[in-house]
Amino acid sequence: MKRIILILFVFICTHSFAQKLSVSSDKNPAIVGEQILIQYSIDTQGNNFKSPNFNGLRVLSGPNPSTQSSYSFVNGKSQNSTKTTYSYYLKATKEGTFNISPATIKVDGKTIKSKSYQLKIVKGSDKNKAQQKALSDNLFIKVDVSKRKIVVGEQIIVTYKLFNRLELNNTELSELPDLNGFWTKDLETSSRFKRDVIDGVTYNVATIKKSVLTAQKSGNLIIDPMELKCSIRVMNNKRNRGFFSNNYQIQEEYISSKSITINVTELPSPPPNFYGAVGEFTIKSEVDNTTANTNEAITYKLTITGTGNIELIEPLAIQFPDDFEVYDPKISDRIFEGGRKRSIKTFEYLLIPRYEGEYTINSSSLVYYNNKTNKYNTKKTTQHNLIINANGNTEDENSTINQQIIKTEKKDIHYIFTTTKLKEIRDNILNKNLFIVIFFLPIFLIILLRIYNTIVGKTDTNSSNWKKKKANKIALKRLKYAQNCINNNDFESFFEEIEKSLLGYFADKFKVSIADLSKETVSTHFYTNAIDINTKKQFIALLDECEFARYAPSNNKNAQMGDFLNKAKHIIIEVETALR
Amino acid sequence: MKLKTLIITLLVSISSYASNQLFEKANKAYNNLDYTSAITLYDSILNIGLESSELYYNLGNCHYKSQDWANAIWHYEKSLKLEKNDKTIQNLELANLKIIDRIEEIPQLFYKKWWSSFISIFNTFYWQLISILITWLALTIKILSQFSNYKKKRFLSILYSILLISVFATYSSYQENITKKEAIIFTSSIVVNSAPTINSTNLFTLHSGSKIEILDTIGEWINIKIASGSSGWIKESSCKFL
Repeated sequence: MKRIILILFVFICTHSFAQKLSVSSDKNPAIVGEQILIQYSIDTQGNNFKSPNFNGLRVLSGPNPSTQSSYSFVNGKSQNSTKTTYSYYLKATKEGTFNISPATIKVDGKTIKSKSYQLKIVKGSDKNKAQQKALSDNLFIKVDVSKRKIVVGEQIIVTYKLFNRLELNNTELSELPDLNGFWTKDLETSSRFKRDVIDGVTYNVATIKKSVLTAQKSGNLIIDPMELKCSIRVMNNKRNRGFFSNNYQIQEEYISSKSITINVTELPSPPPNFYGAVGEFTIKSEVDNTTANTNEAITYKLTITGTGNIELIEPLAIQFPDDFEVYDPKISDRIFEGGRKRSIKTFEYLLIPRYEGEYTINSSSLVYYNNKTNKYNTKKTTQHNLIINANGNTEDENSTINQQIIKTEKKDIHYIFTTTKLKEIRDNILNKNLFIVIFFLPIFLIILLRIYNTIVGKTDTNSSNWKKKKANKIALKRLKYAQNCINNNDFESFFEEIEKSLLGYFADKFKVSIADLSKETVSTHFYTNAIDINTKKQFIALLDECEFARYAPSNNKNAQMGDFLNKAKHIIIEVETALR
Repeated sequence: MKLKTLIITLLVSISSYASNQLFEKANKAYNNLDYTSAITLYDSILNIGLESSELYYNLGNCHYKSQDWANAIWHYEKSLKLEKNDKTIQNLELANLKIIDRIEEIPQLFYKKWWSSFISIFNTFYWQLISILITWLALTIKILSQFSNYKKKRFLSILYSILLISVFATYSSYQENITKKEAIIFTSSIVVNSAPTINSTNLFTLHSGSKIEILDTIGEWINIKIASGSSGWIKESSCKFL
């Protein structure tokens, strides 16, 4: 029982001990420029390893994980152990004490943290320095620039060359230059080593990179350094060489080129049509057909040949006739050494003339800066005359679609008046009081006149005039009343109304009082107003009949009454028409 | 008094020749794109005491070309007060596009629109003359019909109805052109207050070139109304009366 507990205890102990992330380095303190190996190890398998922060130390490689597992069987007891190691190769660039922050790892869901580690870097001895110097003498990158003072748009060639006298195992680009402010075009290079002798010393030389740079802006532009990681095979100078041990070891070194400043100056006051072409160019334009039919394609080809930043030349502003449909140009180029050698760029425009007629494509010009003569030059294309004939097959249906609408898009104010009639500045109205007096005076007078008429005018001719106008209306009213009497069979009043209406009408019409009415006066008035004699006779006859019928009883009075009414109406209408 | 007016008219007739020359000189300056000297020349005509719709229009153009929108609008409006002209209205529309404020006008009812376009056919003075002329004509016809056999009752009644319309038109025209006070904002930006005190609530902000109608005045404060119908109080000094 006791033994079991002991075994259990031991087991637990070992288990808990295993959960530790230890950190170690191969040398502490280390010398500036030396390679340092830092290892993090744990006695189990973990995951999610988080790198520490190497403050100021350069990581050459890592983390490189490695796992060891061993299985041993001793005296009937089996032992199984696993070890995981994460290793880093560091390099210190300056002396001092560097604090490496703790790294973490996850084991069975638990996060295990290492201790922070202090690394001391000390100054190397003269021997070390000499070693460094010997290295930089034997292995270096040289940058060649074709020109250090250029203008905007001018091109330079930058060549990076590796000089080597050591046994190089492997090289790897670790940092490419940024080349801000340049348009870069890499040229093909062969990285094969060639022999080259400088000052009596033989080097193996390889061209790593060759580019054509075109300056895009003015100022001091920096070609920043290029860094190369080299693996060198060095002789192991340690004494205790084993029988099987290798005499050589691989050393990793970082070498970088020097940065170079290029002075780029602004172009001297560019002419208006200058769009940044620098170099030496010629320009040529071609048209495949000078006579064509409408709606048939014509190709206009513009060729630029020369040396310089030809790749960056934009299509020229060509004035094509408005009636041509122009498509975006097809751009093709054959560039040699980024334009350092004679290159060709062509712009091919497809033109479709829509209307017949004679057109000209005006010559367009390319303005460039010649960096050899330091002057602006202008090259012009030829002018092309085109004759477009009407296509016989043009469909009439489309003719309306092709009509152009004249548009005025810009708006401006109208032009000034050139003549004027100047007047005194004053309120351009009549005085309010004056206006009231002048305006209301006639109105007041009119009203006065009206009042005067209504008071005085009853016996006046004016009132009789009024009566005359109203005469037929009154008569008609009476006749209507008479009609009512027929309906009521009121014979007495019917005849009376007929008589009254006729007499009243007559009196009003001829301006006589009813008292003066007699058959004689009626006939004279009829005569003076030139009314038909028949009407006069009818009028008198009707009056007589009325008188008669009023007092003589009759059998069919109703029919008689209707007859009378119509007659009376007829007479009044006759008189009215005669007097008009 | 009579002598004074006589002298003034005499002076005016003499100066009108000189000022016409000034006008032509200013036009030349305008053609030479020298707008500042054109403005001073045109202004000197105004200083003599003469004006015309065309003069204000040309001044408006000068200010428009020198991008002084508020002044341009003021002069175009002034020109329109004297005489309606399509060119002036179109230029004013363009100038109104240039200013900061875009005031949405409340659409008027159709009969109001017709009526206002009808009364703008003549200016107030002519409307006054027309009404007076018609009343006197009516009186003459009335008297003629009273004392002779000249009888045109129908004509008279037509005349009366025309008279009624013209009286209304005169009144509206008077209200529109004489009683209604308008102004253009000249300060680059001004806050419109809810009451004639600085501490009152800020309602909205107006910028130079906006047209305002003046409803009331209290001291240096004026009660204003803009075409969108909003109203408030601003200081009189920030605008120029038309």
